[in-house]
Amino acid sequence: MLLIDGLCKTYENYGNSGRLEVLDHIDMKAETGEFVSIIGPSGCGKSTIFNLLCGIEEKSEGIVTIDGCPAKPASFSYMQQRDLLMDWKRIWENISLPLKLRGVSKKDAKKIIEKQSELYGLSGFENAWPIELSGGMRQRAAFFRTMLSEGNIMLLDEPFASIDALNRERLQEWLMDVLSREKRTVLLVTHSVDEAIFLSDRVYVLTERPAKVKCCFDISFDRPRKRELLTAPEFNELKAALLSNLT
Amino acid sequence: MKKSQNIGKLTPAFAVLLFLIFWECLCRILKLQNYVLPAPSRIFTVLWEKRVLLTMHTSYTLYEAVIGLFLSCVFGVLAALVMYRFRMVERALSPLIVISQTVPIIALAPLVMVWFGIGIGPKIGIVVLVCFFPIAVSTLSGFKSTDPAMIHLLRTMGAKSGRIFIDVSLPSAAPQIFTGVRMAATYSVMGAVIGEWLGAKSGLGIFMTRAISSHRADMLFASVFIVVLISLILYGITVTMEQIFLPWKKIKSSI
Repeated sequence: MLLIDGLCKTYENYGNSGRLEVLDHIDMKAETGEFVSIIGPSGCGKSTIFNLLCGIEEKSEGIVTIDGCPAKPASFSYMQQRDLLMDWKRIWENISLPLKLRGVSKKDAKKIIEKQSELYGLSGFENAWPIELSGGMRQRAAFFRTMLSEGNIMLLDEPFASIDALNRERLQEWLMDVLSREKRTVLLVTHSVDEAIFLSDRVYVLTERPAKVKCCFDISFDRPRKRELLTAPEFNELKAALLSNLT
Repeated sequence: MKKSQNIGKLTPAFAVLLFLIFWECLCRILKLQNYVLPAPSRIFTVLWEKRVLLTMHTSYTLYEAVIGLFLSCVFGVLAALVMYRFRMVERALSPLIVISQTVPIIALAPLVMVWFGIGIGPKIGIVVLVCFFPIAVSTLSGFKSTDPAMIHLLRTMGAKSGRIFIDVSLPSAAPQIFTGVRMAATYSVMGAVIGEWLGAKSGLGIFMTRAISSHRADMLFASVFIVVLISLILYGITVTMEQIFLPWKKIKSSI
C-alpha cells in the first residue's frame, strides 16, 4: 500500500514574490493494485506530486511510504503527458530502454517486446521509427515502456490529453483491459472528470494552489466497466457531486 | 506526376547549361581575349591539357581540406562538449570564439606562414581555423536543444550521466552537428586555397597565383572549376553520411 502523508512543496526564491507554496499537506493512499485518480484545477500542482514521488524534485515536507517502508524513487515508473519517444531509436529500442538500463541483453529485450507487443497493439511495428506511428500508437508504446520499468507503482500524468476524443475513449478501455491482465497500482493525473470516474477505484479532488485534498470519492462500479456506464444515472450523480467540488 | 518530378530534378542542370551557353556566346560575340574572360570551351580544353599538373595540385589541396575538416570535427565537437558540460568555460570562451571569427583569415594567414613555414601543416591549420567555428557553434546549440524531460525520464529509470549523454544528448545534437559539418565542408577547400595563396610548394592556390601572374585566366578558371567541384563532392559526402547516420531523418522528410 502506498501512503502519502502530509506532502508539502514550497519553492523558495520564486520570482519576485519570493515564495511559492504549491502543495499543502497532501494526504493520499492507494492499496496495491488500486487505480487512483487525482483531479484538480489546472496549474494546481498535480504534476508536482509526481515529480516529488519519483525524485525529479525534492519534497519540502511529508512522508511517503510503501507497505510501511520509506518509498524510493525507483519504486515508481513515470509516464508523462508527452510520449517522450526518441526519434532516433526504433519503437522496440524505445520500449526496451528500461530493460537495457537494467542490463538485459538486446536479444532478450527484443524477444520480451515481441512477445507482448500484441497486447499493446504494436505487433508488426516493432521496427518502425516513432515518427511513422500515430499519436495513439505512440502513447501505447510509451505506456508499454512504462510497464517495463522496475517501479511497481505507475504514475500517469495526463497520458491521453493530446489524443482526440474518439481515440481517447478507445485508449481508456484498452488501458483497463491491460491493467486487468497485469495488476499494477496506478496514480493518474487528469483533467477529465469522466476519465477519472470511468477508470478509477478512488478519485482525489484537489483545490486551487496551494493544493490541498478537498475531498475523496470511492468509486465502486463493477469491473470490467463498459462505455455504457458513462450514461448511467449513478455515474452522472457521482459526476455532478465531483464537479460541484471542483469549482 | 512522375514526369513533372523528373523535370523538377533536371531544372538546375538546365539552368547551369543555359548559363554556360550564354557565357560561351558572350565571349564569341564580343571576341573577348583569353586573359580577360575565357570561354567555357577554352576552360574545359585547358582542364584536359593540364590534367596531370592539375591532378597533382588538386591532391595536395584535397588532402589539406579533408584532414583540416576532420580535425575541425574532432576539435569542434570536443569544444562544444566541454562548453556544454561546464557553463563557466562557455561563458569564458564564447566571446573569444566569436572574436576569432571576425579576424580576417587572409590577414592572419601570412603570419601563420612566418610561424610554421610553407609546409602542409599551416594550411591544415588555416582550414581548421575556418571550419572549427561552424561545427563548434552548431554542436553546442544542438546539445542545448536536448529535451530536459527526456533526461528526467532516463534518470527516473535509473540511467547514469554517461548513458544519458549517449542515448539522449548526442543523438539530439546529431542533426545540428551535421548542419555544422556541411557548412564547414563548403568552407574547407576555400580555406586550403587561401593558405596556399600565401606561399606553398604545391596546391591549387599556388597554381592560381602562378596563373594570374602569367595572365592565364583560362588556367585560373580551370582551377576555380576544380575548387567548386571538390567542394561540392565534399558537401555531397557529408549529406550522404548524414543519411547513413540519421536514418530517421530521411523518413521524416518523406512523410
